[in-house]
Amino acid sequence: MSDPASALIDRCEAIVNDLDHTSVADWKRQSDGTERKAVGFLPVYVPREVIHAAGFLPVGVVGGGDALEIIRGDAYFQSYICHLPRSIIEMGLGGKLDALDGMIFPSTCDVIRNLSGMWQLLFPDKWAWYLDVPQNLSPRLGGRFYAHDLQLMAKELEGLGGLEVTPERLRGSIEVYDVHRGITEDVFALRREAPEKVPTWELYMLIRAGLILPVEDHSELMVEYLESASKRTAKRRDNPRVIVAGAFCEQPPMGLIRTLERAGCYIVEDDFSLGQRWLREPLRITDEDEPFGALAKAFLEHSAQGATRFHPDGEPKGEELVRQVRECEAEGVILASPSFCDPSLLDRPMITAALDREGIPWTGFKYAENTGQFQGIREQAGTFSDSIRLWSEAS
Amino acid sequence: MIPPSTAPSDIVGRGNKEGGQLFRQWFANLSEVAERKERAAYVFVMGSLNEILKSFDMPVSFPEINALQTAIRRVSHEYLDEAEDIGYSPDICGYVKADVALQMRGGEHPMGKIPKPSMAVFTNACNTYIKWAEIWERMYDIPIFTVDIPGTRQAGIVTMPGQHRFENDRRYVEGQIRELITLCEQVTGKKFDIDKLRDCMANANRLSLAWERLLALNRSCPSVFNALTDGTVYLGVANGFRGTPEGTAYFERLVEEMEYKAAHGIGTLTEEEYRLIFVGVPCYPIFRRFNEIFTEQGGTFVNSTYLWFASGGTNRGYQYDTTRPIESLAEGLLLSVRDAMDSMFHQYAMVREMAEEYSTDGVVFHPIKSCRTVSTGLADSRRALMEETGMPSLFIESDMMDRRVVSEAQLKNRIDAFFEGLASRKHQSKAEGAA
Repeated sequence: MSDPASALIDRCEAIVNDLDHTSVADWKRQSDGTERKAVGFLPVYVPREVIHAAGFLPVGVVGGGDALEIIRGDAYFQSYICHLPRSIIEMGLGGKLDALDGMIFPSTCDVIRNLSGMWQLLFPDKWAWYLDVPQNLSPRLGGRFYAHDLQLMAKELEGLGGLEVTPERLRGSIEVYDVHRGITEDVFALRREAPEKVPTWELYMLIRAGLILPVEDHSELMVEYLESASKRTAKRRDNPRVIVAGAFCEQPPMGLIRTLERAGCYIVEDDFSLGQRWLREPLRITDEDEPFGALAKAFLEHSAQGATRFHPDGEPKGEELVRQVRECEAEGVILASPSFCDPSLLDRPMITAALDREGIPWTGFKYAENTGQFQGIREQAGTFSDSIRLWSEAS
Repeated sequence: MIPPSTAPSDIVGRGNKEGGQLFRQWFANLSEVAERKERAAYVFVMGSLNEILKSFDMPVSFPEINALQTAIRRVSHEYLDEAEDIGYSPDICGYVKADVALQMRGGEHPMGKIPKPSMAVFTNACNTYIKWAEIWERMYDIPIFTVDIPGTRQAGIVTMPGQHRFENDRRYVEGQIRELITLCEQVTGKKFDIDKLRDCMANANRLSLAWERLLALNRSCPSVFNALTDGTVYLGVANGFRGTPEGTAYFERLVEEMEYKAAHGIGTLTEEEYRLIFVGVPCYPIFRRFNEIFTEQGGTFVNSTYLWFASGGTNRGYQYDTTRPIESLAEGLLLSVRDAMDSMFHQYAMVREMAEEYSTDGVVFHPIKSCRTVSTGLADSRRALMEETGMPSLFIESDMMDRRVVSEAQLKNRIDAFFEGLASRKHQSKAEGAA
């Protein structure tokens, strides 16, 4: 019997693996001969609502993974750096990002900040923008600054040929993304409840496609997937439930995700798509709300506790992860960090300390987006899985 | 003004001597603070806010300077190993790891003892600063304060005072400075004294002017100081003593020395054949030797991006208006730290400009394992520089802390080849001139 959910994932896989972004180019061409515009953005968080309100297609750019051979990209960087910027430069130089009319570089880390400077040097005809998200989290200062910065970005998008980002239009876009956020969380909830029905490699593909597809289409796709996957009758195995954390920017190759699952782990939560799930609550905007301010407020109050965001309140690092472990009834954590990823690796000792305090088993490794050898990781994850099943207090 | 009859021995070299003395005194003072079980504010070189902290008489410690001193004194590997043993990755910043180990050792440092932090103040000029402060916050339960300095949104489009975009950014910085003052009052139990701040700012003004003049003086041929070695001494004083009368006096005397050297054609110890610019952070584990590999072949460093970004943008020589101290401090901080960030993130135009102004023969790019902040983009800047100007350049990698990735022999091979290229270019140019 055919599985409609698998067919949907096949569609997603085709979109994600098309590094030339032909689906974006297709979206841009309109039947009357005119062309719409698309703007790329780098991980982790960019408020796509503003791009959407300008009438542009927001396109997440997360590198070429293991499908892209880096030939020129390496020459633009030093040896000791993560893989993501090399593959993005390779994509840019190879014309794979030609469909994008501009790029937004958020203040994720210094590599991405610097990439904004390089982009303007390499592609002077393309619009590039550094989005300075606030590190001061008081509404009066950071909130006001950020709302103004978003207005600045909206004006830039208008200058690029976009629609005027009026309060009405932006409120409409926020509502569209609120719907999307809700459905996204529904899919993640289904995986938490029934990981045997929603393998993580499938969920990953589904969510990755959302970086490229128009938000409305992606919401529909997720609803279809949700309906089909929930009807599956897969048998639950005696696999430990684990959370994968630390992989929020440079993405692991699909082979690595499959390897973790094959090694006997049910991944019940992950941060691969942290940027798309950054705002933890819907904005529920009303006609009275000033929408730029609402986005800023949501950033200050409802952001995910990621490694790229300043935590000024003394909350022990890793506390959110511990909370997730409890909520998801996870039995262990796999810390997966890209090599040379400063935010992820700098957080790790504090996170492992939090896990140790709570007696939560964990294991950790580093990867690159083009890691090709998984045997070592399979053995590590398999041993971790066995140790939880055989030796944990619960067993 | 130095009388014309002054003997060179009275003045030449005094900057390094006095700088060394000041720095030994600096560490001795920190040790005394630690021995008294008192604490110091932890700050960073890119936007230390020393003006504010000194107005509260707070002792100040620079963890970056503490860390690099362990490398210069050839013990950094011990500190790195200890931090890696508790889970810090070999991939991340060596300064952070040296500091974590130093904290675990109760402040033990080759130059004395480092006090525990009372608070930490840092900008976003380097994202690792933020992560680093989060470590202290959890280690000591202290307040930490980010001064978020808005960066350049688009390369080449630099906003200036009076423009709407700039003023919005400035107001953001000013609001944060006011929050910082409140926090300092809480931490020290002292009331903010605006006149004391004015004094610190007036001292910082004189220091900034002197720093700007100092850099300009190295346009002389021969250059009057080595930007890599002497420059690092000056940087230490510029950061540690910013806003203080001692710092101001030091730099004014230093400028006097360099004016004298420039007027008398006195250069560094190197017979200057090639004027070089250094881009990146020095190789501290073999600091002296690294420089020697260049000077042995007649190369001197006449300027560096390090003297720009690690001085927090003091090179701009920004002068505070002490009649409106907070507003002006915000404006100066925004301009200077943004400039420091641009010299890392949008550095190409600055390197090109520097190369022209300092009659440069070549540019040495030195990315390091520890630091993505200063190293990302160097290869691309080099490519752009070579394409546009044909300027000879060298791209060598090592580290500022970790001797495991410093290979002197490999570095020497590459540097030798670079000088062969420079020599051949010089001969060719002479031959063309003769023809």
